[in-house]
Amino acid sequence: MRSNPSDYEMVAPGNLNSIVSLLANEPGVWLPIAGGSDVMVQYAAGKLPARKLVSIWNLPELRRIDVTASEIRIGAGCTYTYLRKHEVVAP
Amino acid sequence: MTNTREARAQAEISFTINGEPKTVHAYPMERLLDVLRQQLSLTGAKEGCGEGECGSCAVLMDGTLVNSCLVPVLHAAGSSIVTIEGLASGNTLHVLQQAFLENGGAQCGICTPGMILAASHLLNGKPEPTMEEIQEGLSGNLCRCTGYSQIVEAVAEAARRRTTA
Repeated sequence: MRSNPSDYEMVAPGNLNSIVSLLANEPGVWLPIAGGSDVMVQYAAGKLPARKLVSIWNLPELRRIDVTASEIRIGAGCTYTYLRKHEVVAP
Repeated sequence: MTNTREARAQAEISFTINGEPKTVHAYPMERLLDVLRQQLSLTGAKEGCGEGECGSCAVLMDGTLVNSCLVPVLHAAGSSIVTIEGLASGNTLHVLQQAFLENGGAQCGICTPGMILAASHLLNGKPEPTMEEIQEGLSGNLCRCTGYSQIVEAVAEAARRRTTA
Protein backbone atom coordinates (compact mmCIF):
# COMPACT_ATOMS: atom_id res chain seq x y z
CA MET A 1 0.00 0.00 0.00
CA ARG A 2 1.22 3.48 -0.82
CA SER A 3 2.64 5.68 1.94
CA ASN A 4 0.71 8.60 3.35
CA PRO A 5 2.78 11.79 2.93
CA SER A 6 1.34 13.24 6.14
CA ASP A 7 3.21 10.53 8.07
CA TYR A 8 6.57 11.97 7.03
CA GLU A 9 8.58 14.94 8.15
CA MET A 10 11.17 16.37 5.79
CA VAL A 11 13.58 19.21 6.27
CA ALA A 12 16.07 20.86 3.93
CA PRO A 13 18.61 22.83 5.97
CA GLY A 14 20.50 23.70 2.78
CA ASN A 15 24.05 23.46 4.09
CA LEU A 16 26.26 20.59 5.10
CA ASN A 17 27.08 21.84 8.63
CA SER A 18 23.44 22.00 9.67
CA ILE A 19 22.76 18.58 8.19
CA VAL A 20 25.71 16.97 9.93
CA SER A 21 24.65 18.57 13.24
CA LEU A 22 21.13 17.23 12.83
CA LEU A 23 22.41 13.72 12.10
CA ALA A 24 24.83 13.89 15.04
CA ASN A 25 22.27 15.20 17.53
CA GLU A 26 19.67 12.55 16.77
CA PRO A 27 21.55 9.47 15.59
CA GLY A 28 19.51 7.01 13.55
CA VAL A 29 16.47 9.28 13.41
CA TRP A 30 17.01 11.21 10.20
CA LEU A 31 17.38 9.55 6.83
CA PRO A 32 19.28 11.55 4.20
CA ILE A 33 17.57 11.82 0.81
CA ALA A 34 19.20 13.05 -2.38
CA GLY A 35 17.89 12.07 -5.84
CA GLY A 36 15.24 9.73 -4.45
CA SER A 37 15.99 6.71 -6.64
CA ASP A 38 16.05 4.47 -3.56
CA VAL A 39 14.15 6.39 -0.89
CA MET A 40 11.23 7.46 -3.08
CA VAL A 41 10.84 3.94 -4.49
CA GLN A 42 10.60 2.50 -0.98
CA TYR A 43 8.29 5.34 -0.02
CA ALA A 44 5.97 4.76 -2.97
CA ALA A 45 5.81 1.07 -2.11
CA GLY A 46 4.89 1.86 1.51
CA LYS A 47 8.13 0.26 2.68
CA LEU A 48 10.08 3.23 4.02
CA PRO A 49 10.61 2.72 7.76
CA ALA A 50 12.15 6.16 8.37
CA ARG A 51 9.65 8.92 9.16
CA LYS A 52 12.05 11.86 9.29
CA LEU A 53 14.03 12.81 6.22
CA VAL A 54 16.72 15.36 5.70
CA SER A 55 17.45 16.58 2.21
CA ILE A 56 21.03 16.49 0.97
CA TRP A 57 19.87 17.33 -2.57
CA ASN A 58 21.73 19.94 -4.58
CA LEU A 59 24.19 20.88 -1.83
CA PRO A 60 27.12 22.78 -3.32
CA GLU A 61 29.45 21.20 -0.76
CA LEU A 62 28.59 17.70 -2.02
CA ARG A 63 27.99 18.43 -5.68
CA ARG A 64 31.52 19.21 -6.70
CA ILE A 65 34.35 17.59 -8.57
CA ASP A 66 37.88 18.61 -7.62
CA VAL A 67 40.67 17.79 -10.01
CA THR A 68 44.30 17.88 -8.91
CA ALA A 69 47.44 16.64 -10.67
CA SER A 70 47.15 13.20 -9.05
CA GLU A 71 43.47 12.65 -8.29
CA ILE A 72 39.86 13.42 -9.05
CA ARG A 73 37.61 13.84 -6.01
CA ILE A 74 33.95 13.31 -6.75
CA GLY A 75 31.45 14.69 -4.24
CA ALA A 76 28.79 12.32 -2.94
CA GLY A 77 26.06 14.58 -4.24
CA CYS A 78 27.14 14.50 -7.89
CA THR A 79 24.55 13.13 -10.26
CA TYR A 80 25.48 10.83 -13.13
CA THR A 81 24.49 13.58 -15.53
CA TYR A 82 26.81 16.01 -13.77
CA LEU A 83 29.63 13.45 -13.97
CA ARG A 84 29.02 12.71 -17.62
CA LYS A 85 29.19 16.37 -18.51
CA HIS A 86 32.42 17.01 -16.62
CA GLU A 87 35.26 17.90 -18.94
CA VAL A 88 37.87 15.82 -17.07
CA VAL A 89 35.75 12.85 -16.01
CA ALA A 90 34.10 12.44 -19.40
CA PRO A 91 36.17 14.33 -21.97
CA MET B 1 13.23 5.50 14.95
CA THR B 2 9.53 5.98 15.53
CA ASN B 3 6.71 4.50 13.55
CA THR B 4 3.91 6.28 15.34
CA ARG B 5 1.33 7.76 13.01
CA GLU B 6 1.61 11.44 13.70
CA ALA B 7 0.29 13.97 11.23
CA ARG B 8 2.96 16.37 10.01
CA ALA B 9 2.43 19.93 8.92
CA GLN B 10 1.95 20.93 5.34
CA ALA B 11 4.43 23.39 3.94
CA GLU B 12 3.97 26.33 1.60
CA ILE B 13 6.05 25.55 -1.44
CA SER B 14 6.54 27.92 -4.36
CA PHE B 15 7.90 27.28 -7.83
CA THR B 16 7.34 28.30 -11.39
CA ILE B 17 5.31 26.01 -13.62
CA ASN B 18 5.34 26.62 -17.35
CA GLY B 19 6.39 30.20 -16.70
CA GLU B 20 3.72 30.89 -14.09
CA PRO B 21 4.58 31.35 -10.39
CA LYS B 22 2.61 28.94 -8.19
CA THR B 23 2.39 28.29 -4.47
CA VAL B 24 1.02 25.01 -3.18
CA HIS B 25 0.32 23.71 0.30
CA ALA B 26 1.66 20.20 0.45
CA TYR B 27 3.42 17.73 2.66
CA PRO B 28 7.13 17.93 1.84
CA MET B 29 7.27 14.24 0.90
CA GLU B 30 4.36 14.42 -1.52
CA ARG B 31 5.55 13.39 -4.94
CA LEU B 32 5.88 16.23 -7.42
CA LEU B 33 3.88 14.02 -9.82
CA ASP B 34 0.89 13.98 -7.46
CA VAL B 35 1.06 17.72 -6.79
CA LEU B 36 1.16 18.43 -10.54
CA ARG B 37 -1.74 16.13 -11.32
CA GLN B 38 -3.98 16.59 -8.29
CA GLN B 39 -3.40 20.13 -7.05
CA LEU B 40 -2.45 21.87 -10.28
CA SER B 41 -4.58 19.75 -12.65
CA LEU B 42 -1.61 19.26 -14.94
CA THR B 43 -2.40 15.68 -15.89
CA GLY B 44 0.02 15.49 -18.82
CA ALA B 45 2.66 13.81 -16.67
CA LYS B 46 1.56 10.19 -16.29
CA GLU B 47 2.24 7.62 -13.64
CA GLY B 48 3.59 4.54 -15.36
CA CYS B 49 5.74 2.46 -13.06
CA GLY B 50 5.90 4.86 -10.12
CA GLU B 51 9.49 3.90 -9.41
CA GLY B 52 11.58 5.95 -11.79
CA GLU B 53 12.05 3.34 -14.51
CA CYS B 54 9.65 4.29 -17.30
CA GLY B 55 9.88 8.06 -17.75
CA SER B 56 6.13 8.59 -18.21
CA CYS B 57 6.16 11.20 -15.43
CA ALA B 58 9.21 13.06 -16.75
CA VAL B 59 9.24 16.84 -16.47
CA LEU B 60 11.96 19.45 -16.79
CA MET B 61 13.14 20.95 -13.50
CA ASP B 62 15.55 23.85 -13.96
CA GLY B 63 16.24 22.46 -17.42
CA THR B 64 17.08 18.97 -16.18
CA LEU B 65 14.96 15.98 -17.07
CA VAL B 66 13.58 14.38 -13.90
CA ASN B 67 11.10 11.64 -13.10
CA SER B 68 8.51 13.51 -11.06
CA CYS B 69 7.51 10.31 -9.23
CA LEU B 70 10.93 10.38 -7.55
CA VAL B 71 10.89 14.05 -6.58
CA PRO B 72 9.54 15.00 -3.17
CA VAL B 73 7.79 18.30 -3.76
CA LEU B 74 10.06 20.04 -1.26
CA HIS B 75 12.93 19.46 -3.71
CA ALA B 76 11.00 21.45 -6.31
CA ALA B 77 10.84 24.56 -4.11
CA GLY B 78 12.22 27.57 -5.96
CA SER B 79 12.66 25.67 -9.21
CA SER B 80 11.32 26.30 -12.66
CA ILE B 81 9.33 23.37 -13.98
CA VAL B 82 8.18 22.67 -17.51
CA THR B 83 5.51 20.05 -18.16
CA ILE B 84 4.08 18.91 -21.47
CA GLU B 85 1.33 21.51 -21.02
CA GLY B 86 3.99 24.22 -21.30
CA LEU B 87 5.36 23.32 -24.73
CA ALA B 88 2.70 24.46 -27.18
CA SER B 89 2.23 28.16 -27.88
CA GLY B 90 -1.51 28.72 -27.75
CA ASN B 91 -2.99 26.63 -30.54
CA THR B 92 0.36 26.07 -32.22
CA LEU B 93 1.97 22.77 -31.34
CA HIS B 94 5.64 22.59 -30.43
CA VAL B 95 7.76 21.31 -33.32
CA LEU B 96 8.24 18.02 -31.45
CA GLN B 97 4.52 17.58 -30.87
CA GLN B 98 3.84 18.24 -34.56
CA ALA B 99 6.54 15.78 -35.60
CA PHE B 100 5.19 13.08 -33.25
CA LEU B 101 1.74 13.63 -34.72
CA GLU B 102 2.91 13.37 -38.32
CA ASN B 103 5.27 10.44 -37.79
CA GLY B 104 3.02 8.21 -35.71
CA GLY B 105 5.18 8.76 -32.65
CA ALA B 106 2.21 8.47 -30.31
CA GLN B 107 -0.06 5.48 -30.02
CA CYS B 108 -1.73 4.97 -26.64
CA GLY B 109 -0.19 8.22 -25.46
CA ILE B 110 0.90 7.28 -21.95
CA CYS B 111 4.61 7.62 -22.70
CA THR B 112 4.22 10.55 -25.08
CA PRO B 113 4.51 13.52 -22.67
CA GLY B 114 7.67 12.07 -21.13
CA MET B 115 9.07 11.14 -24.54
CA ILE B 116 8.52 14.65 -25.87
CA LEU B 117 10.07 16.28 -22.80
CA ALA B 118 13.06 13.92 -23.00
CA ALA B 119 13.39 14.80 -26.68
CA SER B 120 13.11 18.50 -25.87
CA HIS B 121 15.85 18.10 -23.25
CA LEU B 122 18.00 16.30 -25.81
CA LEU B 123 17.52 18.90 -28.53
CA ASN B 124 18.23 21.74 -26.12
CA GLY B 125 21.69 20.26 -25.56
CA LYS B 126 22.25 18.74 -29.01
CA PRO B 127 20.31 20.52 -31.75
CA GLU B 128 21.54 18.07 -34.41
CA PRO B 129 21.64 14.66 -32.73
CA THR B 130 22.62 11.45 -34.50
CA MET B 131 20.18 8.52 -34.45
CA GLU B 132 22.28 6.95 -31.71
CA GLU B 133 22.14 10.11 -29.64
CA ILE B 134 18.36 10.24 -30.06
CA GLN B 135 18.08 6.63 -28.89
CA GLU B 136 20.26 7.36 -25.89
CA GLY B 137 18.42 10.58 -25.12
CA LEU B 138 15.16 8.62 -24.98
CA SER B 139 16.62 5.59 -23.20
CA GLY B 140 14.96 6.53 -19.91
CA ASN B 141 11.52 6.40 -21.49
CA LEU B 142 9.66 3.18 -22.16
CA CYS B 143 6.96 2.68 -24.78
CA ARG B 144 4.80 -0.42 -25.08
CA CYS B 145 3.12 0.40 -28.39
CA THR B 146 5.18 1.97 -31.10
CA GLY B 147 8.31 -0.12 -31.24
CA TYR B 148 10.24 3.14 -30.88
CA SER B 149 11.24 3.64 -34.51
CA GLN B 150 8.47 6.16 -35.22
CA ILE B 151 9.41 8.04 -32.06
CA VAL B 152 13.07 8.23 -33.04
CA GLU B 153 12.09 9.33 -36.54
CA ALA B 154 9.76 12.00 -35.09
CA VAL B 155 12.60 13.44 -33.01
CA ALA B 156 14.96 13.38 -36.00
CA GLU B 157 12.32 15.16 -38.08
CA ALA B 158 11.81 17.79 -35.37
CA ALA B 159 15.56 18.37 -35.19
CA ARG B 160 15.72 18.84 -38.98
CA ARG B 161 12.83 21.32 -38.90
CA ARG B 162 14.38 23.26 -36.06
CA THR B 163 17.74 23.62 -37.72
CA THR B 164 16.28 24.59 -41.10
CA ALA B 165 13.64 26.93 -39.65
